[in-house]
Amino acid sequence: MSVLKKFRHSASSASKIKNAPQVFIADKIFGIKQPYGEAALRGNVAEAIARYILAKDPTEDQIQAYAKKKWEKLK
Amino acid sequence: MSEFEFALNSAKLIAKELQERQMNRPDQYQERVYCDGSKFGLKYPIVGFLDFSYHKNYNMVVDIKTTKRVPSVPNADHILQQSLYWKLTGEKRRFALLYASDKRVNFIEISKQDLERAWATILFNMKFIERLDERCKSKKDWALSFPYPDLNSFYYSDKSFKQKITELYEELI
Repeated sequence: MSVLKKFRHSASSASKIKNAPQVFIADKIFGIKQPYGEAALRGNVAEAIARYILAKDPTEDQIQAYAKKKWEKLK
Repeated sequence: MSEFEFALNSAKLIAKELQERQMNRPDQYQERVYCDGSKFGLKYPIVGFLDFSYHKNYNMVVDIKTTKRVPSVPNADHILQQSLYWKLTGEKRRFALLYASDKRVNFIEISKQDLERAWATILFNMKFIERLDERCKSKKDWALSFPYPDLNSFYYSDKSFKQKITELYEELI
């Protein structure tokens, strides 16, 4: 019998079991999720803006507008 | 500087670095990679998402790491992550990490040797999860398989999360 339910391996879960197994257990076994942190938000927004710049070759104003919209949506 | 400004300035540097490398619009963004784990002797499947995939001229995946302090050498966990994606994409693509702060970037391509070594490590860790899962008959068994957590670690910097973990372990003591 498996205690893990609907589990899928990922880089994140393999990292957690190594660096903070109790956080892995909280998440995957007890369903206690770690909140979305500032660093993750910053990373996701930066990635999205970079992609936007590469794809659209936008003006500075367009970059600012897109960045604000993305930040508000993800925060 | 606010976190928003940091993200914005980092993004501009990321785009500039990629443009200077003639890596303009990625062919795919957040490409999903998935594999039935049985191929690697695992019971559970493996899933991942690749940041920027360039297929045509580069055959390269670039993983963006936004950070306050840009490292000169890649973080070991980041190499482990890329090795997993390297394996899931059939070992045919090149992988690079692009570290970025609001002031500087560092683009580091990971060698095949490093990917191979890291893959052995991450596979070991995934198998460890499954071995433990086979041994543990209850949720409590899982929790009792490791020491009491260091609640001063940054993993517990969120007050609400720390409180929930404290309550969970208080019940077990």
